[in-house]
Amino acid sequence: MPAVKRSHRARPVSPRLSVYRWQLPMLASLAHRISGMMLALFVPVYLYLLTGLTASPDDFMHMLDWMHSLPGRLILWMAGSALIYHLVNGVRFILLDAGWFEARDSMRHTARVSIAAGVLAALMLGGYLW
Amino acid sequence: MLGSGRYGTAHNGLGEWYVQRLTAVIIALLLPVVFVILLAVYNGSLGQMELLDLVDGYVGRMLHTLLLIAVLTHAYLGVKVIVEDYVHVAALRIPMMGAMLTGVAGFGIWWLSVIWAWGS
Repeated sequence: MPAVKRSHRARPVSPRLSVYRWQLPMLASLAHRISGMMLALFVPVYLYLLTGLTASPDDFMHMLDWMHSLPGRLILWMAGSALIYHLVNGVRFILLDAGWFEARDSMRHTARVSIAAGVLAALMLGGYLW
Repeated sequence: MLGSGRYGTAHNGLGEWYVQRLTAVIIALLLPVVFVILLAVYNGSLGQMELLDLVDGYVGRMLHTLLLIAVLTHAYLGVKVIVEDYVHVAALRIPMMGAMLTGVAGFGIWWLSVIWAWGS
């Protein structure tokens, strides 16, 4: 096996955000990661909710009160919006894997659809929760 | 940091790629249902008894179990990709993934114990 040359180490590897001009598909990809992290962080909250909602009737009412509190609403709003965005953009990613919408223009166009879906979901869910 | 002249060191990237997408399909089918149920509880149209009817039947428990396995696997693989991309110090990255794996396993056990303990 040849020794790794020094020049190899200096080359940029993929996620170097600072060297690329900002593009819509890049934003869609980054937002997919951020929304995914948010959803992963929602897992313990979900378990907390599930445990409380299915315990005694008092626990259920207590948990319902928490869901209607400001932190509860904010967490439900962020998780729900992240879910819709991640879902729509996830379908987009799978379609890209299957070879659809790979041209530059359609990459941009579908990225716009994902972002619009996320914004719309955030607005509608905000309207529902407040 | 991996240079462009070398491939990844995990050697199971294709398998993880496939599992990430398989779990994505399961989640895409089941998680929206869960969120709608949560919103129905939120606005009061689903009381505790109706909620329990939904989650503690056999079908509910089986689907919930399938969903939790898919969600935790998907979350682990997704966070792994992010950590591998941005955390370049191996002495930091490896313990982080170890903590993530332990956490995911812990949540899985907690979640399963909640689901399968109802009514017993």
